[in-house]
Amino acid sequence: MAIDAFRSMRANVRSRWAALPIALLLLAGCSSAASEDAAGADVPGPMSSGGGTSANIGAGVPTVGSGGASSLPPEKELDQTFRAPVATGSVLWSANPDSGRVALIDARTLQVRMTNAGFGPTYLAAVPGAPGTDSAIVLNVGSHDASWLQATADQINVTTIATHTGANAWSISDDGHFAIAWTDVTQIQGVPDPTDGFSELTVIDLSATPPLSTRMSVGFRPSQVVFDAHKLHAFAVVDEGISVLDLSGSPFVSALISVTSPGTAARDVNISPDGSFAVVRVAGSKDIQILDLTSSTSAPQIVSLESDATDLDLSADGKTATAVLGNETPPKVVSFAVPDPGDPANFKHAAIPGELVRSVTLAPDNQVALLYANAVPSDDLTLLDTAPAANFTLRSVDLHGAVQKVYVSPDSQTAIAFQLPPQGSMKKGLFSIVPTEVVRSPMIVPTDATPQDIAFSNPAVGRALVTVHDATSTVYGVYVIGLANLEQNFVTLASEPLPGATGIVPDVHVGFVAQQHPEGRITFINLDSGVTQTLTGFEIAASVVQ
Amino acid sequence: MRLWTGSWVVLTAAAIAACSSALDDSAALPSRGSGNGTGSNIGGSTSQGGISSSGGSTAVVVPPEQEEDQSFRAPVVSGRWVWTANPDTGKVAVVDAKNFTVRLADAGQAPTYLTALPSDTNTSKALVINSKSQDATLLSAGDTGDVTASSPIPLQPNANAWAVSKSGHFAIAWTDSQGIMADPAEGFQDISVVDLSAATPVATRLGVGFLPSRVFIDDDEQRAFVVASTGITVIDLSSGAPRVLGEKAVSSDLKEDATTRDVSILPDGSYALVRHEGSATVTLVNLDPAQLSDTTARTLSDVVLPGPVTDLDLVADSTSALAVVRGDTTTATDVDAGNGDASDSQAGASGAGAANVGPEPLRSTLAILPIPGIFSAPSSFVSVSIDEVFGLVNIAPQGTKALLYTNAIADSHITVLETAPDSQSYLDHRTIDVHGNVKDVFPSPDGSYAIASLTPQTMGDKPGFAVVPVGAVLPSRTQTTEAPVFAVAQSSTPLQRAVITVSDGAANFAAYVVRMPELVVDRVVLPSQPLAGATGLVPDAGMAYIAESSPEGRITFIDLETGVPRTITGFEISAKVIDGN
Repeated sequence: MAIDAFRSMRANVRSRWAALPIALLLLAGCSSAASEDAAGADVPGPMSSGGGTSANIGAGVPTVGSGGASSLPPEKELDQTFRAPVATGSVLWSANPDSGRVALIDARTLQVRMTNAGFGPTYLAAVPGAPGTDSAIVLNVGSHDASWLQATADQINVTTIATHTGANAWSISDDGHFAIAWTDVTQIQGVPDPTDGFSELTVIDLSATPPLSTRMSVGFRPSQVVFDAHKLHAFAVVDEGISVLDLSGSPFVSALISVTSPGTAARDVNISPDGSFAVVRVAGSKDIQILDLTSSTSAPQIVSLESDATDLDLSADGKTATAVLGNETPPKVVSFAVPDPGDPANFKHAAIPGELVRSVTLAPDNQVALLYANAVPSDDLTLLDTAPAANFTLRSVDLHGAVQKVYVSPDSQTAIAFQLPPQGSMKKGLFSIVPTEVVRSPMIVPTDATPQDIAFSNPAVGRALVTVHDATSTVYGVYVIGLANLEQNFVTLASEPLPGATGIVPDVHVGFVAQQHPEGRITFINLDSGVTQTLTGFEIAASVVQ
Repeated sequence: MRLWTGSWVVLTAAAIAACSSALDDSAALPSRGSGNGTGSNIGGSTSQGGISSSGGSTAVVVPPEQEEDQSFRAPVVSGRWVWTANPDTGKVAVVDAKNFTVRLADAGQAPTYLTALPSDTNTSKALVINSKSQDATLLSAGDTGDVTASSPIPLQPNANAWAVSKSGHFAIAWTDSQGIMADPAEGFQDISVVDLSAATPVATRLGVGFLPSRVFIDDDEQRAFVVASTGITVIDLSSGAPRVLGEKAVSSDLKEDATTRDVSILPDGSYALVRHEGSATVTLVNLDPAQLSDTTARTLSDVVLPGPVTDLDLVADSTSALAVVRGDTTTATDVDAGNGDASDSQAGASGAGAANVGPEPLRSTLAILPIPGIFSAPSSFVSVSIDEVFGLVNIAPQGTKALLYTNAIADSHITVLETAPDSQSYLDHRTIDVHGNVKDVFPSPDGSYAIASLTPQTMGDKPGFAVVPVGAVLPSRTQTTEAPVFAVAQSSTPLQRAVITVSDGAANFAAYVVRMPELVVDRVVLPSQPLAGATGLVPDAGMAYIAESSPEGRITFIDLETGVPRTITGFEISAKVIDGN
């Protein structure tokens, strides 16, 4: 299924949520907002979980209540909570934890179909499926199960699948065979008890009829769950190391590969796309560990660098690791082959004089590395040409505001940096559109609210969306960006965008931004024409198109 | 000075505020006495004295030279018609300068920034940016009939300037941030390239460098160049929809203050030359499209001169560039053989010599950089050092004589120097005392005359201007005026004339018409305050015009043959009033 809509390649944050065609949650404020939304699930909803399996629901025409008696008090719009929608093909799925319903919206016609999920359907993920069928799966946080939704042109099939309690994240295999529900501690509201390990996850085999659900404990506080290329294994990164899940038969934990990590030092675990190895950076250490994930008994390879790496990124093809030695003067970048680094004399090096560099983001094509710092204010972004014949040439661009985060388009041609406004600016936010391969000036875009979410279309469409909003401002909107000509146009939104709810419906060249509204509100943006349409109140069947 | 794409027929001097500022500045500047008579040939290493310093290397801190830019919010001329926009009414008026008929057309919301378009003799075209509706309107007028206005052409927000290609095929709407109180994060990086060749204009939005300061389209209309703080953005106009090819850096210093540099692009778009304020180097930039995406080709080459380059100007036919190194007491400039006349040296990084030898005569240097030779041999050029203080150079579009002067200090001298290698008087020079402190010098289109705006030499003196014969060694004329020079317009054909507008911004407004070769000056009182950048010529009608401040619109036309003025007032409300005054 089309999940090529977006991708910011920040390799050391490899949550499988990032594989969904939704916008990223950014910055700490974003995470906080997401946690608060999760609390909304505690509001008792009107629907029971309806836990029956495989309920067939026809093309839903939602009913409208009669109401209308003059003696009745005025209607109240309940503060319902909608989680981030997900897109598959030409449709958009949107869940309402309070009503227990999921809306399926055709992005071409804005026709809405509704279906019941479980109790508190909250965390949605797209599931790659057969042609002609749109498929998504949602975690029902109230009934501690999942609803697998499969939609054809005239019906929506709902299958209820048991999960463990507290699941709030999905990892879906790219063939739609497996879905793993797990608990991402970073999405938990408040500070969890130190003893609460959130160790359980649920492996769901979607190829079976009915789907098979297997619960297991994988280790303390999983931080990412990924699959290998053959879907024979999954890997859960936990405090103890990396748990290997054998998926070849009935799923089970087959091994724990330990990661050397002194004390409470932060780790940065990058698992190769084929799942054969992992590259681990430990904060404060100059040693990079390369772990063989096919063997729990193999000793890790150690690559000793000149000094501690402040960041490390693995190329999309899994063949190269690039580390930043940000504490060197001047900062240095080291790139080496993985999993076999070979002779250190063959490592590629670059010094970045005059720049503050501590982080790296590699473009998907591995032709350019984007170097920056966000722990201390730095306006510059350095582009290091990592193409084999380029000999590590570099250039820096001034982005006129401290860089916070960098995202790269799927075709690697453009990066978008989220930044802080420069000193003296009255603006609330700032982002820059940076051509990475063409030597061209970045487009600096000051904003009246903080850039929060980003979504890239596929390269053929060549668009991106950047949503701006913050709690202190009533300015809500989304920038529609043409990546080829760096054109950007602001679209004002009627209400505050939901965190992580900006995305692309890939098959129809339509972007969307879901917003805070008690009855649901989504603005659709035609990426070719720029025409916007806002759908409000689809939960009560009063589909209003503005 | 920059090589502007606009017509050289009209040269506008300072806006009032800038004038005042400069006057204030000059009052505090070190002064250089006149008293050397007119037309004096000054050369060699003999000191001219007069600088109020004791010599040595620490006496005087000389401020940078000042160049004045033109306001775009002014009437424009196309053929024999003058177009003027009124942002308040949404109307654009076109005035026939031959018979003073006025026609009006509706544009968009707040039509403000006009530009004229090339057209045939019987029609006139103009483009206007409607600043509130964020679009443009293409206006067209014939001898008679209604003025036609196109459908709105969508533009980016904040557009306030135009660049038009030679034939009028393309017009580029961009944002000149000078004078805008902008947020420091605001880069005004959007431009709209409007293709005017089709029946319906087509606009293409593009992102360019941060804070564009100038937009230039090459003579062949194949590429456009946007000079920005980040470098030069190169735009392809030759293959379908306009697109950005890339950007060339103009400095190796990423954080260099772009306002301290001066970028000149050759008319064919092949190269650019960059002056950096306070630097002795001129950076050479190769704009070959094949190298734009090659980061390894971004290495910039430099021409090294004997001191900080204070001005850089291209000779109009682009056979050379002129770089000025101002002599001052902090830098002992080239001490050539001291042979009395122009010291001509094949200078280079070392050839010009920068040996500090203590207090030396104030010698300024003009380096003539051959084009295209300088790009392949950056150390091969001719320089001339003269016992004068000059930091600026102007040269006429059709002229070969450089006009050298300074406005960084109070100085009444203009030096004229021949720059054409094939001229018998190549490198000959003479210095003229114009009896007032020179603020700016405007050459006539053919280079045979120049108008110098003057500030008072001492408190209580009047400002004025000087008319300087450049092509022949004849006496200049200095004219005192009741107010500072506000704008200058000159024509060479069919009549050699100059119109100088003076304004104190309060009560004294006038225009002075200069007839050449007699150098006769006639004064015309203006009924109201002239608008900035709104003095010009209508060559096809033999008229000069001065647009003035009036709620209903007011333009004074002056017949260049007879000197008779006519003022049209109230054309915005179609109540045409003509009075001779």
